[in-house]
Amino acid sequence: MKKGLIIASVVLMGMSLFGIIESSRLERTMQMGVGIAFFPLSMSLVIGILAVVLLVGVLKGKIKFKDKPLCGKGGTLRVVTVVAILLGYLIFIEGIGYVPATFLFFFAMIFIIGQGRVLKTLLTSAAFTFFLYAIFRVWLKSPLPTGFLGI
Amino acid sequence: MLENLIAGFVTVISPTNLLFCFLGVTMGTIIGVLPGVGPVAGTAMLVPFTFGMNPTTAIIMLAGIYYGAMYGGSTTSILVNLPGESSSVMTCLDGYQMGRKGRAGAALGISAIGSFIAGTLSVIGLMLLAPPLAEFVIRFGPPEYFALMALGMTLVISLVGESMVKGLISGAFGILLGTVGMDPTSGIERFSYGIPTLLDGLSFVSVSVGLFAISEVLEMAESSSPPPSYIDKISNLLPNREDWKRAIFPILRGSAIGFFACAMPGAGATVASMLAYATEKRISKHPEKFGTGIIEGVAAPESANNAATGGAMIPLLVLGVPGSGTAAVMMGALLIHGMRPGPLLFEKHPDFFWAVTASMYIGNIMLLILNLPFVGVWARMLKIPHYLLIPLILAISSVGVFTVNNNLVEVWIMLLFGIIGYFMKKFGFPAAPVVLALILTPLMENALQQSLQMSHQSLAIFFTRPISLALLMVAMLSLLSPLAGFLWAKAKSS
Repeated sequence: MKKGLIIASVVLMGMSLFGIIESSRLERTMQMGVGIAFFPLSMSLVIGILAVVLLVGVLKGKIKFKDKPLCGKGGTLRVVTVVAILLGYLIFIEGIGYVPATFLFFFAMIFIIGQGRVLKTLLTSAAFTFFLYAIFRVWLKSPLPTGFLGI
Repeated sequence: MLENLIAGFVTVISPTNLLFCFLGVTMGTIIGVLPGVGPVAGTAMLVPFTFGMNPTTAIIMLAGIYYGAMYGGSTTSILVNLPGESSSVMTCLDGYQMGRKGRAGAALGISAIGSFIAGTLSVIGLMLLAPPLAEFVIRFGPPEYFALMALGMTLVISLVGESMVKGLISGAFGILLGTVGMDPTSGIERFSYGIPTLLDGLSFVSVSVGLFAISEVLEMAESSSPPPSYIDKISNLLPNREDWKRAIFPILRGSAIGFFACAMPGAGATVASMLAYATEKRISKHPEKFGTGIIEGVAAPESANNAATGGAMIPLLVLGVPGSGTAAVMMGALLIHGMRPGPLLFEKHPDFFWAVTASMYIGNIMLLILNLPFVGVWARMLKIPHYLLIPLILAISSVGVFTVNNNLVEVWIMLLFGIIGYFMKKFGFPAAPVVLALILTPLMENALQQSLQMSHQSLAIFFTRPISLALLMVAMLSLLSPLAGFLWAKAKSS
């Protein structure tokens, strides 16, 4: 966790630097109140200063942190899998449409994470897809992405 | 007042409002029961469902989810020793022990009845306190509003999370995110980088669903634990005379503590339930019995966390400053529906306030009916495996965020903030200040610009008006109090 917090401090410093550079490009006119750069610039500076405080605090042991690994090996794999399947879902939903993409998403998730049987997973995926379609499209009448199949 | 309340009841008893109040409390109970899905995540996830509704119905449903989750959280605390949400942590201590002694029914019963009494008392408190407070706050000008929002933000930052530095970083990050998009005064673009979706700023729904719901799902995915086993022998739900005698005062004290603690931005239901438990233990003649399964240890925290919902409505509806993550999500939903919370809400839409208040009375009765006879049904929800919950929550969140503006970019933003939220949780950065700051920043920036225009660019306006000065001083104190505490402890030890 200590290593993670050090990395987080460095990332925050980078974000602060980016914010300062980008805010400096904004027009800092005083004609309309404090100017549009006031909040982003001041907050970028605050984040930078606090990131330094956090880093020093962690290194000197003044900031408490849990002394355990960030994530177990199996846990990391499961999180990466979930994110990857969700990424795939978002990539495919526009191309193939809501119904097929959602069905595939449920199938992949339940099959891989739940390590279930194919038939049971197929039926559950179909039921969940229909359930969400009924709520969003039929009941709430929200437009959903339609792909080349038109569904 | 009575006339207004009756008008509120008339609005609520329309079939649509009753249906959505019922749906809200039912979904809230489910959210409270399911470990890992807290009220903030649940409310954020279900905001897109409200877009076709009128604002009153939408908030009736969202408020129902909020207090329904408080009820539901106790079920898992008592039956599994696993709090459904953070404000039920204290209920585990005595609730689970009561269950192990074969008194799970009594614990669940007193928890539901105590919650009902506390919820009803807090609504009465809201009804009595909100109108005069609104009358006072309506005199506020832009400097006072700016100071009030600054105070709300600093209180939330200083009270949530484990470290002030991390809370401040979260708050500053949220303010930075709140500046994305077109500047409200000049119309100049900031940090939108030619992405049309960002011109209107970062969507609060995408950010809040990502930070709260997606991050929780990723945490759920990380653990491969099977559904927990639970105490399934539930009988004698109605407390006996002895239970009543011992629980009634803890319920009343818990109600008062929960209501007043949450009427102040920042405290939240978790702090309220801890305060109530600690108070009971301190004033008890047998403090050593706390934690062994006594009914006072269930009645007090459960009453406090339910009374907190009514208290939390005061800063949200009257001041326009949400005091917790859930309240921030509700404020965002209100803004999307074109309702600006604050004292003007009472002047322009009194019907809205009274309908929401009346719905809380009715919702509490619905919860009592739902929670006592159907407790076995809620307990069985614990058997839902993670591999079904995870894709369901992800799909509802993704499709829900998409339907807000029919824009897939917003779903990508949700995913990005889901990953950011996951790491924030890992490193102990609180997410509530980010969402709070994201919502308040455009309003704060506007109030700051207006104040400086009033004073011809002089910052002295914030320090020459007594209310603004007082609010800013309290804000500074809340930020400096941990430092003062540290120096005091150091001086004492040396």
